[in-house]
Amino acid sequence: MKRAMFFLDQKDMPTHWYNIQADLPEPLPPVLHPGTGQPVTPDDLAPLFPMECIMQEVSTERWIEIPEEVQDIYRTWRPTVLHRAYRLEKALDTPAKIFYKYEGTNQAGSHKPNSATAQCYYNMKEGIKRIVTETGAGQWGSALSMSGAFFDVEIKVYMVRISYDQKPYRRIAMEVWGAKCIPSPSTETQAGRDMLERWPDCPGSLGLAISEAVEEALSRDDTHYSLGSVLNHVLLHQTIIGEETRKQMEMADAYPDIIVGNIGGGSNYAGQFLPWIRDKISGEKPDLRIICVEPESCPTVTRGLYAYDFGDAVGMTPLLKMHTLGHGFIPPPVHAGGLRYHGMAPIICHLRELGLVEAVATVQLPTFEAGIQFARTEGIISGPEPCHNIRVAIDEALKCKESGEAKTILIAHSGHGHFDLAAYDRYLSGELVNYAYPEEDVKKALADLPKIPT
Amino acid sequence: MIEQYDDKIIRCPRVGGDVNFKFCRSENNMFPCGWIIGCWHKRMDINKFLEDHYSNEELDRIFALPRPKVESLVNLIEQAKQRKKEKS
Repeated sequence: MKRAMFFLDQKDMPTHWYNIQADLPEPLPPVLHPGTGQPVTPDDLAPLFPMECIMQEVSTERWIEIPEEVQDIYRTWRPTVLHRAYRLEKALDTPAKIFYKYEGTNQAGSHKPNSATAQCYYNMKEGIKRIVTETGAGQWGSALSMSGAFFDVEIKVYMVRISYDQKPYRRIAMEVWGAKCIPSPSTETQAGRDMLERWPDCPGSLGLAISEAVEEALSRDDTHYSLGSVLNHVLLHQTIIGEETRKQMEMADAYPDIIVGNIGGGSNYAGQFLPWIRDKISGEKPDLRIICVEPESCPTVTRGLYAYDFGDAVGMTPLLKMHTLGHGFIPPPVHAGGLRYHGMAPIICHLRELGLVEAVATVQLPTFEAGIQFARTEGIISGPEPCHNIRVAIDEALKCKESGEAKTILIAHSGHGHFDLAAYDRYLSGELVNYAYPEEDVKKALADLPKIPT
Repeated sequence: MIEQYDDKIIRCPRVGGDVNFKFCRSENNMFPCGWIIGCWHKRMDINKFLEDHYSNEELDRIFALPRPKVESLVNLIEQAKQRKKEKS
């Protein structure tokens, strides 16, 4: 019998998150304040986040224990299954062995609750009664709402009004979990009221929803804000994915030659590959390839420079060292909205700069083509983001077909696309287009990077 | 006139659903979304539309890069501290 699923017993679920900051050959560069050029301190973040999360942000401790209460919640869906994609391998007629770790079996449908649960717990322990956040399509809002219900923390989600009106199922899910989900702009914050005064029918925007959430969090002592990607502590919470996978790959008597994942805020893929990259850093597995996949239309890591850049055109925001295309870069649209940041998790940028991870870019149509092939062989309708890494995994498997090598490929799969069927519909009806940002324009944008204040 | 394309519909990847052009030209604090060129350039002469209705200064502001979340947050915290200082 060919074993296609590898189950880890709940008693073997990892009890610690892995902190890559302990093993980095060079420490992460600090976030700098634009005015002073000095590093931002943990105290600067305290108005929004619990101190435990802030300390995790800067910790260099290798293993951080997962609180027992968080483990108890994790056990309502974890460990997630590691799959062997026999049917995809057969369709590709490749000697490659393809595995995928699928986070879509979570109650909220993605990897997001791995951090939402931890963040709710730490806030609860600090006496915080309420957490406020924003959501666009509703994935992070759903995860936080579910986690809030588990820890009896009140969750309030500012959802962009146009999504609120168009995606009632996400809103309803949040409300079922007990959260308060209100459309942004709202009358509950100054930012919202100001906008409604100028434009009563305003459909909202993500920027405004964030402003409302942060304004509310800062206005009450019992309230914090929460973020579901980018920050170091969010990536840390996701490392349970990779720690589980290490054990499951051992059960499969396999070790990956290539690990593929999509990068946006970076949290799911980092959660998978960070626990493996220590083998590469230590020299035990120097040939391990870690491939970060991003859209060709927004080549942040594949073509961007690693430099200090302001977050806005006038240079008022703090300087952060990350891969960037500079102020002048106008990223074009792709369906995987989460992949469109011009800068992503600083940890991923740093590892790229150190030459420990590769980055490749894919164009839109072939990614959906890969998503369709994956659905028709493995059955899973993937979110638009994981379709990018499925594309690259398929390409690598086809290279194996040419070379005759039986490489082991591991896909980090962040979740299902059941709320993204309209994107598939547009692909199937031929409405999607390829787009690649011209090299000349990228060079022009990079020329505007600022000098670091001394 | 600025309303000429308002009824055209497109799927917005940021909010994950259909929006009309009016949304795209006004979602950025009443100004166009910074992604408007990429989204619309294959459907209309979006550059001409922008040139016709916005000054160079406004266009520079519109197409400033969206801030990565982490930077935006630290910036908002700084602003909050400033407000507290002013109150005290």
